[in-house]
Amino acid sequence: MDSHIMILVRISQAAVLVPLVIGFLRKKLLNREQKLLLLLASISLLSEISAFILDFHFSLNNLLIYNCYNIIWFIILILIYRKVLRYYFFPHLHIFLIGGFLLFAVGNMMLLQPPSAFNTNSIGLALSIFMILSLLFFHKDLTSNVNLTMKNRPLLWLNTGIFLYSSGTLLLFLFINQIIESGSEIMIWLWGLNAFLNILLNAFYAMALGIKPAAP
Amino acid sequence: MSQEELLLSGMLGMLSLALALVFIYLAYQRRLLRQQKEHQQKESQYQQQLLRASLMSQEKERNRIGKDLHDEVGVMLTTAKLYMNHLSADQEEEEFYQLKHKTVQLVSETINSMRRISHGLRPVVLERLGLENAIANLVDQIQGSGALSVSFSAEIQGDMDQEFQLNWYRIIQELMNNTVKHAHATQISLHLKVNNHNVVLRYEDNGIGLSEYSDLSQGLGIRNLESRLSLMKGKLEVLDTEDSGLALKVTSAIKP
Repeated sequence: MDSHIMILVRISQAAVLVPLVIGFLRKKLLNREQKLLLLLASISLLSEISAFILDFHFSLNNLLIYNCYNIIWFIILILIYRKVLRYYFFPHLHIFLIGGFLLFAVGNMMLLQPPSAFNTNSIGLALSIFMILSLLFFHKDLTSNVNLTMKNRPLLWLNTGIFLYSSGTLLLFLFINQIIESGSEIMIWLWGLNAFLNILLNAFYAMALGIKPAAP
Repeated sequence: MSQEELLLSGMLGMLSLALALVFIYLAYQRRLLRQQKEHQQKESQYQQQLLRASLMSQEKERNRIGKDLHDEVGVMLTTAKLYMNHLSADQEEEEFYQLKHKTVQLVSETINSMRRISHGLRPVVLERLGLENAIANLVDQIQGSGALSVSFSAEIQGDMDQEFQLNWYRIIQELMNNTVKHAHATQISLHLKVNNHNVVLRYEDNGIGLSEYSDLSQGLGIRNLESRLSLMKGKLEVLDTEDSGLALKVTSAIKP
């Protein structure tokens, strides 16, 4: 891999440290959603470390960790988006979504895509759901009579990050299994773009954890 | 184009689209913020106008009371004092009783004036007999002048708050005063309906209409009404009238 892209990938793996540090420094000031985001950042760091150890020290396939992380990512984000779901649909939809996604992801892992390969079906589904949810969040924001400023709205920052990341990586994760073995020059750019979007996502996590939420 | 190139283009395309949507969102959000700010400014101006109208109305009322006290009660008491100064034991009996009679008459006129002034401040009939009778009393006063014919009907079922009753009394008084003073009307029609949730008044006169009412449409009158209505979560609607004249629908809650 091109050394510059490699550096970008390493930066993207370490980028989770930024929201994590900010989150822990402001731990006592965080609201419910921010605490969930801090938990997500902590799990993200753990999975990056585990994946790095498996890959570098044991030369083992670490995709199982990323596949499991995707499930946890989905669950925590759905809990964060609970209010949006409640606003547009019905109060307990998040439970059905989490249950349904868990069944789908486990079923997919057992029957369709092995844990040692990218579980593109479940990742693609998760990213699509979050694209829709983030668009609904924007819509709710513009149509309901709320204070619109970005300064004290952590969820707005998180939502923007999730929207950009999901939109940018959806196609990559849908088709990654078909092209991963090609080893072409373009693959490096694809991973580079993914790394950039991951850094961007962590920057938005950091913003979401760094600002003081408005009083409810 | 290879699969990878196609994928990279797709990713960049989707990302660009997402970025564009975020920028559109931000631009729209900024516009909404500006609108919100303008709306808040207008609201604040409106509240200031209401406050000013309320203060001016208070001042006007104080002036009126001061004038009434000075011009009526004050004059009568001063005259009564003069009469009493002239009263003395060595006066002729007939003159003494004449002066005494005049003094007693003046004192009783003063009492009547005081009663009229205090009635204007807080209508006793409203406290004793309720809103419907208090309005009927107002109607009688205007009918008594012979200048206007007033028809009044009421359907009162709900239990209305005391403060709201006074506000409604003042609103109706203000409307009728404006009709008498400015509308050149010969008829007024009032229908008041109170149920368990709200109060609805339909007020009509056959005068020159609201556009000609300088005092009600632009001055203190309408501001006073709005000020009182805003305290009762109420609103005032000007209805279309086929002929000239004024038709209003005024509504409010029955309690805070």
